[in-house]
Amino acid sequence: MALILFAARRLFYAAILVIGVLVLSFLLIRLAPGDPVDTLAGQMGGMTEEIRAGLRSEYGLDQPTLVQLGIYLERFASGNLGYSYFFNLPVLSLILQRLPATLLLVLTALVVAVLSGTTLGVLASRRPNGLLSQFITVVSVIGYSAPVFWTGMLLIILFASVIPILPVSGMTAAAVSGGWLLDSVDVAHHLVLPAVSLAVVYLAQYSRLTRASMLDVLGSDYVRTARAKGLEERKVFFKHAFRNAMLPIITIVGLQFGNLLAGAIVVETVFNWPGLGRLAFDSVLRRDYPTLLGLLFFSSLLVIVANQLVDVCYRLADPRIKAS
Amino acid sequence: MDGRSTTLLDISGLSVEFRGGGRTARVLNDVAITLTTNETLGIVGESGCGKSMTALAILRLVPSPPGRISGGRIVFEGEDLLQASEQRLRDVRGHRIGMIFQEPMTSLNPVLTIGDQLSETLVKHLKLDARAARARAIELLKAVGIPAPERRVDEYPHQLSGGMRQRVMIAMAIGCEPRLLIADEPTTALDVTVQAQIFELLRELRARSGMGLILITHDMGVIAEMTDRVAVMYGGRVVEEASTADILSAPAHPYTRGLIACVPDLDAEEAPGADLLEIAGMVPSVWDLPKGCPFADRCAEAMPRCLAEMPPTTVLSAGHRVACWLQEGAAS
Repeated sequence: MALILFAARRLFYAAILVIGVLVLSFLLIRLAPGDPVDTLAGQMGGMTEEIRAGLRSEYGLDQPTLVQLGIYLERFASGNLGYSYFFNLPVLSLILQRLPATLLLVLTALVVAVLSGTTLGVLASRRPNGLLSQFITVVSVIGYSAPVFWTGMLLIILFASVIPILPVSGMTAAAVSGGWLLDSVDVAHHLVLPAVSLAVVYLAQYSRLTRASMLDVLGSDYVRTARAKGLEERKVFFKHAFRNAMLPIITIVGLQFGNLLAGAIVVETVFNWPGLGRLAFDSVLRRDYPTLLGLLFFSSLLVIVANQLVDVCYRLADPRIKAS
Repeated sequence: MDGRSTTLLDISGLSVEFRGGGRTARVLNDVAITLTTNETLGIVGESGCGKSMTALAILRLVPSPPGRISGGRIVFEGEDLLQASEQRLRDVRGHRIGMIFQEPMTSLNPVLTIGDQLSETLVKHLKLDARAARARAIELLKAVGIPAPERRVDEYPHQLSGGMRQRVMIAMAIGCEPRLLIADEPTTALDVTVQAQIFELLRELRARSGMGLILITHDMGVIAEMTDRVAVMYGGRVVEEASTADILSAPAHPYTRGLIACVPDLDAEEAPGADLLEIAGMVPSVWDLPKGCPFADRCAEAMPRCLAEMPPTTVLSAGHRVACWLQEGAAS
C-alpha cells in the first residue's frame, strides 16, 4: 500500500514536471525572433506578404501565443504531438522512429563510461601515487577539458584518413541487409566512434570520482576492520570498499543523464547519427516548433525515467535509504 | 583450559615511524610489553601517546605509507609477527588475534548485513560453509547478549544502537576463539550504563576462554576494575609497567601519579564546583619529541637532567619497571 502511494506520488510530480517543461519551452521558443514562415520564405527565395499571412493563418501562427499554447496542450492531452512542417510526418512517429538510435548511442556511451571509468578509478586507487594513477589523472583532465565536438572531429580525422578502419558517419553502410546479425555488426561498427566521443568526458569524470571515492573509503574504519579480520586484499577492495565507493558514482550518473542527452545532440550532428539529437538540431534550424516541443517532452521523460532508475539502484546499493 | 599461564605475547624494542614533509616522527619508541594467557593487560595514557598504534602494530595494520614499523620484535605464540609473510598474517588476524575498535558507529560496513560481516571471518578462518557460518553467527550474537539474534543477523549496522554495534564488533572479534583479544577503547563512544555492560561481557569472555586480553583505555577507573597488569604509555614509550595493585598503591612515575589523581572521587567531600585535577600542559607532538624525558616539561618534579637525557628503565621490584630519573638507584 505504502509502495503504491509512493509510486502514485512520484507519478503525480513527474506529470507536473512534464507539463511545466512543455509550457516553459513553448513560451521560450516564442521569444526567439522569426517563425517557421520566415524560414520557409528564406528557403524559397522570398515570398509576398499576402502568402506569408495566408500561411500564418493556415498554421494558426497569427493567433495570440497563449491561445496557441492552449490549443497545443489540448491536443497534447489527447496524444497528438502535432505535425512536423519540415519532415511532413506526425511528430510522434518521427520521434519514435529516431528514438532507438539515440537510446542506443546514449546507453552505450553510458555503459562504456561507467564501466571503464570505475575500473580505471579503482586501479588508480590501488596505488594512489603510482605511475598508473598519475597517468589516469592526466588522461582524465584532458578528457574532461576537451569539448565533445572537438574529440569527435579529432576521431573523425584519425579514423577517416590516418587509420581508416572505422566508419565516421551514419548508422549503417549503404549496402543493406545481410540478415540481422550482419546488420547488428554493421551498426555496432558505426557506433564505435560516436559512442566513444560521447563517453570520453564522462569516463574521465567517473574515473576521477571513483579514485577519490575509493581513497576516501579505503581510509575508513570499516575497511580497517575488514583488514583486521584477515580478509584477502581483493575482498577488502571489492566487497568492503567498492560497494561503498560506488554510492556517489550512482548519484552523479543520475544527475548527469540530462547532460548526456545534450551531448548526444552534438555527437549525432558531428557523426551524422540519425537520432533525436540531430533531429533537435535540424528542427531548431527549421523553426519546426512541433518537433522541437515533442523532443523536449521526450527528453524530459527520459531524464525522469533515468532518475527513477537511479533511485532504485541507490536503494538497492545502500540499505540505509530504505529506512527513511 | 588448564588454568596455567604461558607467555602469549612478547613485544620488545618495538618502534614505529611516520614520515611526512621530509620529517620523521617516532610514534613508538622501544616499546616492550608482555602478556600471558589468562591475563588482562591495560595500556593507559592520554590521546596521542601511542596506545592505539601499539595495538595496530601487533596486527601490522599501521597505515603505510606514511607509517612504518622500524624495529623490534612482536613474538606471538612463539612466532615473530614482524617476520611473518602477509599471507601468514592474514591467517593470524581475526583468527588467533581478534581486535575491537574504538568507534562502533563507523567500524562496521554500512552496506553489508551483520550476518554477512560476522560470517566472512568464520568462512575464511574456520572454513565453514555459508549455512554453518550463519548458524554460528547467530550463536555468537546470542553469546554477546544481543536479543532476537535470528532477526538481527539479517539487519544492517544502522538499524542497531551504538552498544549493540559494539557487541557485534566483539562477536566478530571472538568468532574464531582467538588466543589474544585487543580492545582499543571499546567503550569510549558509548553511554556509561552501556560501558559497564560491555566490560562485564569482556570480563566474562576472557574468564571463559582463557585468552589474553589487552585493554586500551585512558580511564584509570577502568584499569582498576578490569586489569591484572598495566603499562602506562607516554610520548610513544612505556614509562611504567607493573601489576595493577602496585600501580594503584605505589605509582612510581609522576605521570602515573597524575593519571590516578585525575580520577574524580565521587565520595570525596569536596565543595561542589571544586576544580577537577588535571595534568598541566599538553602531550608533546610526535613530530617534536624532546631529547630527554618526554614528560619533563609537564612534570612538577623535573630536574635539569630530565630535559637533557632520556631516563633508563629501572626495575623497582619483580614486574615493576619505570623509566624515571627520580627512581634511579631505587632498583631492588
